[in-house]
Amino acid sequence: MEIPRRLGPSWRGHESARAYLFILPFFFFLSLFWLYPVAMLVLDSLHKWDGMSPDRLFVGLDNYSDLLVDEDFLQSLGNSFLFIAGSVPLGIALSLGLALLLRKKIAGLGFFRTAFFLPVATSLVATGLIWQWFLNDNFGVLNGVLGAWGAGKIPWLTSTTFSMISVILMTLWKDAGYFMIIFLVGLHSIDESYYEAAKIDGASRGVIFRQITWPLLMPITFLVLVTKIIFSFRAFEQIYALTKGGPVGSTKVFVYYIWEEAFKLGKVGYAAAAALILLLVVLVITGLQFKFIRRRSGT
Amino acid sequence: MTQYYTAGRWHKLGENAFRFAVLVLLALVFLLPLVWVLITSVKSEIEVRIHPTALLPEVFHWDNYLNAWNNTNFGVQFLNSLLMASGVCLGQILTSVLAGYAFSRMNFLGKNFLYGISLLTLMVPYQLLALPIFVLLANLGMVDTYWALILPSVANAFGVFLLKQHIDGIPVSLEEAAFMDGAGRLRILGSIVVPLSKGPVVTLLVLTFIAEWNDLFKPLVYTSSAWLRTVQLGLTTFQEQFTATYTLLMAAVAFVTLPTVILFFLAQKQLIAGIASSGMKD
Repeated sequence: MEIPRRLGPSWRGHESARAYLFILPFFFFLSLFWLYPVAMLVLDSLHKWDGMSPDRLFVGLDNYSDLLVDEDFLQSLGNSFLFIAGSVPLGIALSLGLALLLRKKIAGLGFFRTAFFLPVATSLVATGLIWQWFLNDNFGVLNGVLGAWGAGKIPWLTSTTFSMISVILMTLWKDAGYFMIIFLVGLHSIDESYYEAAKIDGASRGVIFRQITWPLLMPITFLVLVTKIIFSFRAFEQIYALTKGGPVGSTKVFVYYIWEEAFKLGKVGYAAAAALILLLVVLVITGLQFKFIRRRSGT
Repeated sequence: MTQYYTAGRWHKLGENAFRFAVLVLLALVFLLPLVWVLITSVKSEIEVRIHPTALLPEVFHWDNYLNAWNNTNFGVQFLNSLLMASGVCLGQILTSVLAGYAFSRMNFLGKNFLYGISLLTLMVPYQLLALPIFVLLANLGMVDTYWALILPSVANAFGVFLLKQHIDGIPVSLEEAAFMDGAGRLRILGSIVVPLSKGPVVTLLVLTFIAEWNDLFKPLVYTSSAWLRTVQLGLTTFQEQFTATYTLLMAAVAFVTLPTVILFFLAQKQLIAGIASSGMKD
């Protein structure tokens, strides 16, 4: 929406100076705790440094070239992709499904919305604890329920095969409500007249979804997709809380790897280089998103 | 949807019943882990091992809550979390309202560039900045103080974005009238714009409070003293102490989570509107 701004630049003589005063508090803290650290990260990535000792050895791009042949790094990258491949499509399907179910008025709407949203308000530390208990091999309720149906005990958190599945399940549970809300807004913004016209034409439910809902929801779906991919790349706390990267590194994702290198092994320069690679990936994804949105609004 | 019309209301009723049933089932699945927290928290440790899936305890062990609370310093930790969350909320609202107003209403050199830079920080995984921030805090002598828990989160581009989007939608004519009466920018902001921005301010307040109450990262990395421990860090230390004592752990989970759940109930509508507007970028 464009509102005419008759109070233009010449409202007062010192308008610019005043504006800088207004943004000063924000930019003061943004510079200290966002911009400066990113700049430091770039510098650190060119050095061999443990984060504390006075000797910082300049090594140029060595950290970057070392990373590309570091098997642990590549494995963490692989784990992140596995995590994204598992949680993003399923997460979108789940959130969209919940939103579609809650689109029209139904008894208990508030209750359902709350039920799906409560995990979002729960901290990741608590979520990790809850799921460790929920997925416990011997006393967990999930194995208890599955056992009642005759299934064997599944080692959810103690086997390298199931650990990633567990992390994905927990993430689906935790995030579904948040993206459900975004989908709900998208669904409500679709003009009702499309549906009325389709009804008169006698279109089936499947056709209505494919021809109206899905294409018109595309910008929102795309936004959710990008946000989820970025969130998934940044995943750290849920791993820290549920599996601590284990067993045998099977859930050690990208940020967890960087965190361990920097804070446990003291390879700060090396971790900084890995962090910048992640930042680059995230920026590329964001750039693609903007390009996509522009292309859509252009046509 | 042909049947929809021919079979009429009965079909619609059946369809709604089916939708309702699916929703009930899904809600049960979503609530199960949380309900299990409450059930476990009032069982005895022996019962949990013998009848792990029993729905109700033989005897309600409310004393689990007392034991969990007394076994650590949860009282102090609640206070620390409250201080951290309130400090960050206050800081974010102040910086966001001022900057959001300037980006929406004022013209200055480099405006678009500065706004673009701020939005880009939303893409940066903040965990990666921990080390430079730690070094900075150490140089300022702020490591292991309340400042370390509050200051790193004071600037949040999300808040600026939220406020700018909202102020963009307020008719500027209201401010013009005040300006004619000789009011300055700051007074106009305080007496006209802020009262009209209660919605996004409350949204920011609630989202930030929940995020900070739930934050583990800052306390974990920037503090080490026990007296500065927040609830989430307290919960992880409690977990290390009582590794397999699930009854106490679940009681602790329940009371650590309660404040955000209450806040969510109180501000549900506002929160949903806020998430919605953050999803709509035009």
